[in-house]
Amino acid sequence: MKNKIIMLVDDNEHDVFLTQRALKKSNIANEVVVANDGQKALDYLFGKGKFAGRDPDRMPVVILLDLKMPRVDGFEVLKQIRANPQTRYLPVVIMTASKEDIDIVQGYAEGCNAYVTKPVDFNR
Amino acid sequence: METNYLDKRKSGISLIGDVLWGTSLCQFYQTREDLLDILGPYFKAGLENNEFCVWVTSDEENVKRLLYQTVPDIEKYLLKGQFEIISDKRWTGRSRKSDKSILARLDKAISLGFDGVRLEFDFSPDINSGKISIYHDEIETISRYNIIAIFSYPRDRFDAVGLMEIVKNHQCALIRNSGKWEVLESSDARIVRNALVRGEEKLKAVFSHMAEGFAYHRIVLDEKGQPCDYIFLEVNEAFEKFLGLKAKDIIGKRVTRVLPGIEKDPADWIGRYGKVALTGKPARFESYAKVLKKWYSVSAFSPNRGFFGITFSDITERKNYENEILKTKTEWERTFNSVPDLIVLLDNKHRVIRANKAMADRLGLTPEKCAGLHCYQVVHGLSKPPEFCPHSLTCRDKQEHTAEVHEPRLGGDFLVSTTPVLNDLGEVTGSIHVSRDITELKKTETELQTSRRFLEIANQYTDLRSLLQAFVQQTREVTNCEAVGIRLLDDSGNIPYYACDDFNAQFPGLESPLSIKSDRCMCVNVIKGTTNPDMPFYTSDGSFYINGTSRFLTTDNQGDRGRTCHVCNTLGYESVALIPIRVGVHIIGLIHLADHKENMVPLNTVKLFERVSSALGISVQRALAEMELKKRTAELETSNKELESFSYTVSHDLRAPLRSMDGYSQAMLEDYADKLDEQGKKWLTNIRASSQEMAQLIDDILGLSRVVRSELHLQNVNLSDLAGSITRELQRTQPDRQVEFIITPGLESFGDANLLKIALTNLLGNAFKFTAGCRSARIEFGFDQQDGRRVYFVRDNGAGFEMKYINKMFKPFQRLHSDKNFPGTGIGLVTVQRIIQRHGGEVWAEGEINKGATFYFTINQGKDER
Repeated sequence: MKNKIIMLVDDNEHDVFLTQRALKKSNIANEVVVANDGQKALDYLFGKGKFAGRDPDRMPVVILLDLKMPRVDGFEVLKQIRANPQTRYLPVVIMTASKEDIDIVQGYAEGCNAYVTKPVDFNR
Repeated sequence: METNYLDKRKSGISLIGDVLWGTSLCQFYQTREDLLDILGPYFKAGLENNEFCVWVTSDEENVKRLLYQTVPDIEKYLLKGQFEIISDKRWTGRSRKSDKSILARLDKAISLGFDGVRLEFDFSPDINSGKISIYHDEIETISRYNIIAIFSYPRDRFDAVGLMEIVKNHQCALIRNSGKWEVLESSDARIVRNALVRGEEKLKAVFSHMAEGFAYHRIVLDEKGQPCDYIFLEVNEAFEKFLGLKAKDIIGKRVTRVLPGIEKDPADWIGRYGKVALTGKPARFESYAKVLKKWYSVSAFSPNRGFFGITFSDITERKNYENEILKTKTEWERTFNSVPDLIVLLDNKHRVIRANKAMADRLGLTPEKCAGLHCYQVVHGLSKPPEFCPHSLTCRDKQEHTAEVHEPRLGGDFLVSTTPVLNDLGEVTGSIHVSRDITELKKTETELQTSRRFLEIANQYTDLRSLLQAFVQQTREVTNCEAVGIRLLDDSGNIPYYACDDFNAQFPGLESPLSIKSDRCMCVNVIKGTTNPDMPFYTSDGSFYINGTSRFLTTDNQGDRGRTCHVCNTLGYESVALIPIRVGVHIIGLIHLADHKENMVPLNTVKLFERVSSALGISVQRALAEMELKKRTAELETSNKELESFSYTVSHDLRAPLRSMDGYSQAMLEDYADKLDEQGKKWLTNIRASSQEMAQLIDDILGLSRVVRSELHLQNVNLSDLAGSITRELQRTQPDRQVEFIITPGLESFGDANLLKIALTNLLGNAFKFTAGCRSARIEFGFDQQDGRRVYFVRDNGAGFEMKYINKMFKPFQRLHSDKNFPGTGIGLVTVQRIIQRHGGEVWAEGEINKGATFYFTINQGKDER
């Protein structure tokens, strides 16, 4: 069975742990690939750098994207995802601590599919 | 004694009776005694009637003897000098003519006060010649004056023809015929005599009835033969009326007695009359008699030598009238010529009838030379009237017209008005054309307009560069100066050029860096206000101006020369003006005018800029203030943004660890539940609660800082709708609670929607929180009308609070309830307060323990409706 990979992009290890735990608790058993900064996320998605020669089957089916990351932030990642035809239609859920309107607006403007704030209530 | 002082004289000869002056009789005697028959009574009458008697004879001795016999008191008369006996030789003198002697005797007689002369010629005709002389000339002379004469001839010398010849030449002749004296009067003579008598009667009639005064006088001469007096001989009724004198009181009297002081009268009556009487030349004149205080028009004539008559009328009234008119005329003339307005009287062909002095002067002519000239030619130099000519209009429509005329030939601008002159038929014969010189006025008007334009510029621009550029532009237009610059004093004491137009390219570079500590330029003096008003190139308001720099620099003013700016002159600027820009007492800069030509900055120009410079000063200050304001606002905005971004980052970063704490605690509670006892679970719960609290606190602080810093976006806000959505949300958070929400609908206000939402969220949230323990919780949102303003409130019937802690309520972190009972961060009310304050309103509260609390607030943004 092909694994439906969920990609989690977040730089905070605690958030990562708690999110993974929350996913488990919600019985979401997909494999979770973690990238802890934007650049690594992009490299993985496009098979670059460290992830050159990554198995194409291992493209995630949904991306949980944090916004506030060093170097390459969430918006940049989202932009590039949407810019590339290979990845354009990937569902992206922005997951962030920010409740700021400005971020929500920008998120949707850049083309995220959903926007949730941490801590996430996965039941919802 | 009634004497008739006209020409009728008593002859003394009964046969003849009265004769008139000028009569010459002849007598033919046979014996010398015959002579006395006639001459005795003849001379007696003469002597008694104030006549000077002369007997010219060749027989002096006998005559004297004869006279003594017939005239008893002849001695008296001889002594008196009234009688003269003279030999014929002495009488005629060398010339053998006797008319001169006759006149001499007459003059002497008059001067002695006699009425005339009574003559007797008694001398034998020339023995040798045998010719009978007929004394034509003598008779002629006698006839003209107050003289009576008898020519006595010896009878036997003449034959009948000779006799008749002589008789013909005399009025009548006396001849002894058979012992009786008879009168031979030629018929001519008789006719004449009758005519004369009748004439006299006619004359008398006229005399007494004529309206004019008439008087007849005999002149009196002094020793030198000059007229010194005259005697009234006859006056008519009119005379009596005019002078208020009666004839009987003055006849025979001298005028110096009748009208004392007349001899001193400047009109010289006696002198003038005397001249008439003596020369026989008539005179007509009008004179003022001081003695009588009247004016007379006099016609004086002399029918006989030594005598004169006058006809006169009293023209005092007319004279007074004339004088009045003359005075008025003079006054009018003076006024006409002293009025500074230019006045011309024009006829309806545009010719000058009359010009006043002001007009004539302006044209460079005399008033006389102006007459007859065509006004359009002499004033405007045109060959026909100009279109605007108000005189043409007046002539056409008989109305007054006014026009403003600019005529450089007369030196400027004039306000011209023309008033029609109409004749008796109502036709226009011309107009009175008055021009008032309004050149100065217009100049002032122009200056005012110019000032106003500058003031408009000063007010229009708030941006410094635009302001100065516009000012410089306008200055160039108004002054025609080539170069205009504005220096402003900056904080470091430099006075660089902030705006300059058309200065020689090097100029700004050389001159801009100038410090007020330097002493090499007039600019510094002007800026420092150290100008000396006694110097001709400084004004009393502290400006500097030179209309010829080359000339100025060669003057001997050592002290100032050292300070002058040679740069201006070196670059060829001959006209330079520096006018300080003042704000109150401070000088903040100067206006610099320059031109290569001389005389481009006259005093008028400098004064104009002095007047507008303070307006410019204020404007510059305002512009600078605006610049400062913009700078600060920009800085503030930047700082705000930085702060915002900082707070955002900070809060975000602060939240992350809290998230972890909360998350792990929850994970522990879930995953290690079986390994934890109650206390352990409790403590983990506490950890969670604390971290959540902190998260909330961070949110609140972030919120508060935003509230304080954010820009207000004012709009109409429906507070009722807002309250509604907030309360619905609140209910949703605790759906099991029973809360009654009463919201007054339709409450609209004006303010920042976001902030008001936050405020209401806080207030309603609090109400919701503090009614948690209530069984029938009731939360109200409504308004009261207090003191004429609308006061909103959020009221609950929950836990309430003690009024004595009211001061602490709105302070950050000050809570009136412990966290145990009612969780909260203590920031909420502070935030509400800040929001309401930013809306210009107030917030306050009332409460009672366990009864509830009411929070009131006002929003003073002006547009509270309903």
